[in-house]
Amino acid sequence: MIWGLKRIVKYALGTDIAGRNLAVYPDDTFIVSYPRSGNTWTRFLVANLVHPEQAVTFVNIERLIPDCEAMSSRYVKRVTRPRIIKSHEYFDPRYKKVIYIVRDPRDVALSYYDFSRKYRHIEDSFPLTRFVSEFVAGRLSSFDWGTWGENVSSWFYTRNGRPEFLLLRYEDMLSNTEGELGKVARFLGIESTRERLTAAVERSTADRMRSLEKTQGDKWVSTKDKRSDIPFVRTASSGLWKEKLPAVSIAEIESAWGPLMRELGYELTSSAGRSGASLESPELVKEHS
Amino acid sequence: MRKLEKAQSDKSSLTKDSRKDLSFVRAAKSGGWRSDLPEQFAAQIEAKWGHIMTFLNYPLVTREAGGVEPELAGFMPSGPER
Repeated sequence: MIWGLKRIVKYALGTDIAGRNLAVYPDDTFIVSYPRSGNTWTRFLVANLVHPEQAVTFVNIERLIPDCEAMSSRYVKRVTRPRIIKSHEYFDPRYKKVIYIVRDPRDVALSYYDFSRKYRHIEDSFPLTRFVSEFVAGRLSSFDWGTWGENVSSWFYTRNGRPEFLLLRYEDMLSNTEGELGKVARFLGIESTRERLTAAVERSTADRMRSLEKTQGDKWVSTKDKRSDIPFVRTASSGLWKEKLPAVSIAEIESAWGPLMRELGYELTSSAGRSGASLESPELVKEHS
Repeated sequence: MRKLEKAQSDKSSLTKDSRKDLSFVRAAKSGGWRSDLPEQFAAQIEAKWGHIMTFLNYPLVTREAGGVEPELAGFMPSGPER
């Protein structure tokens, strides 16, 4: 009961985090991903597509596409419907219409490492190999959203192939941004003229987002009070793991999630990953061992 | 299975190094939580996974399932069972 009272006070004051207690409406659309998988970029792309009358910035993004894990229940509730909401949650049956972004977990791990330093969750000297072990075991700050494998599989295996679910790969978005955004436009029922898509892409480039971060980083809920010497908008690239990630860490990730990675089109390079990929799901293997 | 456990627990990898005074094969029934799980823990579980539990047809007892105001549902001391 005390717990309930605390929540009601926080709700009234707008100091709670909506999270899984978010009030979901039937006309909501969600942009979901595991952290560090291109969600913020996708938010910019979609917001610029849906609202061509105004340039999207870190100052207005929470009003246009709120982050339900950063904003309060009351704030998200007041956003004009139909809402598009950003989320990192694992499968939530209430989310009817979902754009899910997936990124190669070997790149996610690298990006998450920088992010964790930026958020002061780890020191600069924290060994990358140890970080990857924590990442695979689900012991990072995002443990509430499951591991990469749990989060991705919870959506992929329940919803993929359904008309109300759009799966985007970050790598495809990088190589053919307009084409992938065109899919989003059709998914949302928005007229997707070449001009409109191009304008949205140009307003959401990594360069523009980097310069916005420089001037607005101290105002945005996700970056204020965080280290400003490490950018939130990173390289905006794919495949960096090939040169930056130690072989042992590559093997650890591929061994944990090889079958799922392969199903999503991510080529496995380590022998541990390839042999694991022929077995049943690693989560199941773990469960039975 | 209880009989087999008694006779073979020292041979199974699941049980051989575990405590013998607690059995691996337990009550083999559902709903034991209603009498054995303190309400505050039931509330914690329902707060965290209530939406999925409802989706899977497990009735919630410490909060309302799928109410108009889900973010307020946790304030209900005991929601109706369905």
